[in-house]
Amino acid sequence: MKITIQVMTPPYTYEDLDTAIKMAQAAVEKGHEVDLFLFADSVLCINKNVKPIRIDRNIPQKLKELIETGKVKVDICGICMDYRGITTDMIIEGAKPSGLPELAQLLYSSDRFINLMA
Amino acid sequence: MALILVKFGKNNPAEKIKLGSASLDDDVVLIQNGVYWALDDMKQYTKAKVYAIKEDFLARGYEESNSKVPLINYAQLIELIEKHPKSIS
Repeated sequence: MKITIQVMTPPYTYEDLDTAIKMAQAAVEKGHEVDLFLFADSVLCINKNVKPIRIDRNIPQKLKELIETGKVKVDICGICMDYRGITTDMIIEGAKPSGLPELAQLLYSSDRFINLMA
Repeated sequence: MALILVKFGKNNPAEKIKLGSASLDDDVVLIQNGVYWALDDMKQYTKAKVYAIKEDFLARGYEESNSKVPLINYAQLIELIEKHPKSIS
């Protein structure tokens, strides 16, 4: 089954990315494919220069590990990146700048769509 | 038949409407601050079956015995996502 999860809120201020990551991990363990679509302020989590203190979770690193499983894709809204000064050299390996046409395609091709709205 | 995710606490009017309009065959999952609803008897708010994410509930300082709804893990949430083609969040 292909599950798309859309997130809109920034990491560390809100919990949506933590929820999305845990859902993606559980879905991958059950053999599903997951596409995470990062929209609006949630694109901040894809910046590999993010350095949380050592005892806190490293959200970009967790996303990178999920991508490395080969079962999770991370799509980032390109215009949202531009609005926040995030350039392609800043994003974690494996994540790809994307856009609303790709989101529309995901809505069409996914078996399940979970929207963690703001 | 739908899966309804509730992530805001009891002072959020939209969550109250979501719970109130849910039907018998819907499943509601309380996530994040939505788990505060689990301290109450949910029958007064909704006809649907209600679950709460155990990890989010315990993260707020409660014990399992404080919850009035069944606590589930993320694997069980994925099972509910599998069950329901539609979701409202």
